[in-house]
Amino acid sequence: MTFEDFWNDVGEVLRGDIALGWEICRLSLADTQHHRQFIINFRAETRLPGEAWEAACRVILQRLTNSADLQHAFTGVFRSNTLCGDSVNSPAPTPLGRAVTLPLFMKLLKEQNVFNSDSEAEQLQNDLLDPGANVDTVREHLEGIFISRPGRVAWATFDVGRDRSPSGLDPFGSMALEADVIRARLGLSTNDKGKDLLLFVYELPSHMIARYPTIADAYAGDEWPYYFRPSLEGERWGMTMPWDGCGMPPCPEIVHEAVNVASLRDRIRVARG
Amino acid sequence: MGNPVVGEDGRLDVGSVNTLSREELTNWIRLRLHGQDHLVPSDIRQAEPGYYLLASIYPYLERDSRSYMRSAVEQFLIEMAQGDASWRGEAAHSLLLLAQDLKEPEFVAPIKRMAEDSQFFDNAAGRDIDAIHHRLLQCLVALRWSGSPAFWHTQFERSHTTYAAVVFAGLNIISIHQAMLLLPRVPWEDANTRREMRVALRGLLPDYDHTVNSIVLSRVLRLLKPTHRSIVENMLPEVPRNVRPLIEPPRQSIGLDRLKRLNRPDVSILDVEMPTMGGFDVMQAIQERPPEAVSDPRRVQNEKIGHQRSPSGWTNLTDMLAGSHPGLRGAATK
Repeated sequence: MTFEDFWNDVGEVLRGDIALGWEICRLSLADTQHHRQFIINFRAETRLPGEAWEAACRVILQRLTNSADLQHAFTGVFRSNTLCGDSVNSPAPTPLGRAVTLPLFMKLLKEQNVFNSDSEAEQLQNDLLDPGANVDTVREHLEGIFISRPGRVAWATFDVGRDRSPSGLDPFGSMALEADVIRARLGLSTNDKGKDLLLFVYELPSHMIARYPTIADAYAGDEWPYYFRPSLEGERWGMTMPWDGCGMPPCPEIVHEAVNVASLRDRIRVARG
Repeated sequence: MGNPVVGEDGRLDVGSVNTLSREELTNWIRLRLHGQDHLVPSDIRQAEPGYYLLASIYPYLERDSRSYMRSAVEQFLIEMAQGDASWRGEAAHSLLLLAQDLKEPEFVAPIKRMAEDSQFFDNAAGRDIDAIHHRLLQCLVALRWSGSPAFWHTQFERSHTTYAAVVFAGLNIISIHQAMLLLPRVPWEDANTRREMRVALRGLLPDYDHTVNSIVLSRVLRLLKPTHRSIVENMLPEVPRNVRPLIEPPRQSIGLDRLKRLNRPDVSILDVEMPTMGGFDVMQAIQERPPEAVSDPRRVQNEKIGHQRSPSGWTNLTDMLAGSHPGLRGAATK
C-alpha cells in the first residue's frame, strides 16, 4: 500500500497529526539531495505493508526536527521491514546479476575472514580472476562465502527480452563491459568511478524469493543511498535509478536474501574501470 | 561547524574533507564508523560499509587531513583498548578494518594491547565480543607486526580451527619456516580451516619464488600425514615437487643417543638430520609427528640420491635460511 492509502485509513484526528508531522519531517529533511530523494520516494512507494507504514508514522508523529535523528529513526523502522515487497515471479527472473567494485568485494571477503594478509589478497584476486578460472575454481576458493553482505538485503539485476519478460540471458550481456557504464545504469556509487567492477551471474536458490525493492530495503542501511527510486504502480519489477544526466536507461532490479558462491553460475568477470 | 560536501552527482568532494578542522574530521569519522553519518550517502546495492569511503579517500587527502585521520583512528583505538563501550560490535569491526587499510604503525600498540587483553578474547570466560579477537589478530598481520612465535602459538592454542590461518599469516611475517612448522598441527579435517589455509598457503606465492616455496615445503610435507600432505600439495600446484637442495646440506647433529631417548624406532637418523632452520625444532617436530608419517625406506633412499647429485644450490639455501635469500629478504624488510 502507499503512504496515502494508510493515511486515508486512520482516524481524522490522527490524520491531522500525521499531516503536520509529515510537513515538519519534509522540511527537516531538505538539507541534502539524498534526504530530498527520500521524501519523494516515501510518497511514491506503493508496496510497503500497513505495519511498516504504521511504524513509519510513529516516527513522523515524534516531530523530530534534526535530519540526523530523523534518518536514524526511519532506519530503525525500515531495518525490521526489509524484504517485505511483493514477490516478482511472472516468471521468476533468472539468472541474476550483481556488480560489486573490486576493492569493495575484497573488503567483503576480509570481513568474512577469507584472508588476512595483503599477499593472500593479491593471490586470491589473481586466482579468482584468472582467465583460465571457471566457476568451480571460485567455489573451491570461496566455499561457503557470501557474495553479498551476510544478513543484509542483496540487490540484483537481470535481462529483459523484447517481449518485456525475463529473457534468461546474461544480465550484463546487453551492456558495454565498461565499469562506469554499468555503474551508471545500476545507480551504484559515483565515488567508485574508474575502479574495476566485478560481475557475478548466479541463480537464486529455490527457497529464496525475488521481491520488489521497497524504501524499507533502500533505507535500512547505516547510510542512505543517493540513487534509488521505488517501483511504480504497474511495473513488473523494480527499476534502478541511473546516474543523473548519464542518458542511459535503467535496469530491472529485485532484492532477495544474501547468497553464497554455491549459487554462482559463471566465473567472475571484470568490467575494467 | 564544517561538514563534508556531496556533489550534484552524489560524489563526495574530497576537497571539502581537506577543509575540515581536526575536530570536525574526527567527529565525522566517529559518526561514520558508528553508522550515524547522515550527510554522506553510501551504496546500498553493494552493501558498502561506512569505513570503505574513509579508506578510499585517505590516500587522496592533503597531508594535514591525513594526519588528522591517522590521529583520530589512533585515538579511537586507544578508547577501545580502554574499554569504551561505544567501540563494540559493528563499530569495533569497522574501526579495526579501517586501521588495517590505513596501515599506520602507530596503530600497532593499542591493537597489540587489545590482542593480549582477556576482555577481547572471543572464547574466554569474559565478554564475548563478536569474534573481535580474530579481527585484532588480522590487524596485527595487516600492519606487518611480527611479534614472537610464542605470541602466535598462544593464539593458535585458543582454537586451532578459528585461528590457524591468521596464526599462519602472523608466523609468516617472522619467517616462512615458522609458518610452515604450523602445518602439521593444523586441523585439516575441518572444511572451513581447509578453505582458510588454502588462501593462506597460496598467499606465499607472491612473496617467495617457487623454488624457495618448494624447498621449504618439501621438508615440511614430510612431517604431515599422507592425507594431509596431499591436501597441502593440491593447494599449491604451482610449486614444483621433489626439488632438493643441490649439494649435501649441513646436518643438525642431534646424536643417536637423543634419538634413542625418543623411543621412536620408526624414525631414522636421516629423517632427523635436517638443516637447522631458523626456529625449526626438529626434536619437537618428530615428537609431534605420527608414526605412520615417517620413514619410508624408498623415500629416504631417494633423498640420499638427491643429496648426492647436488653440486651448487646449497649456498643459496644457506643464504635463504640465514635470511639473506632475495626471496626472503623482501619479506623480512616489509
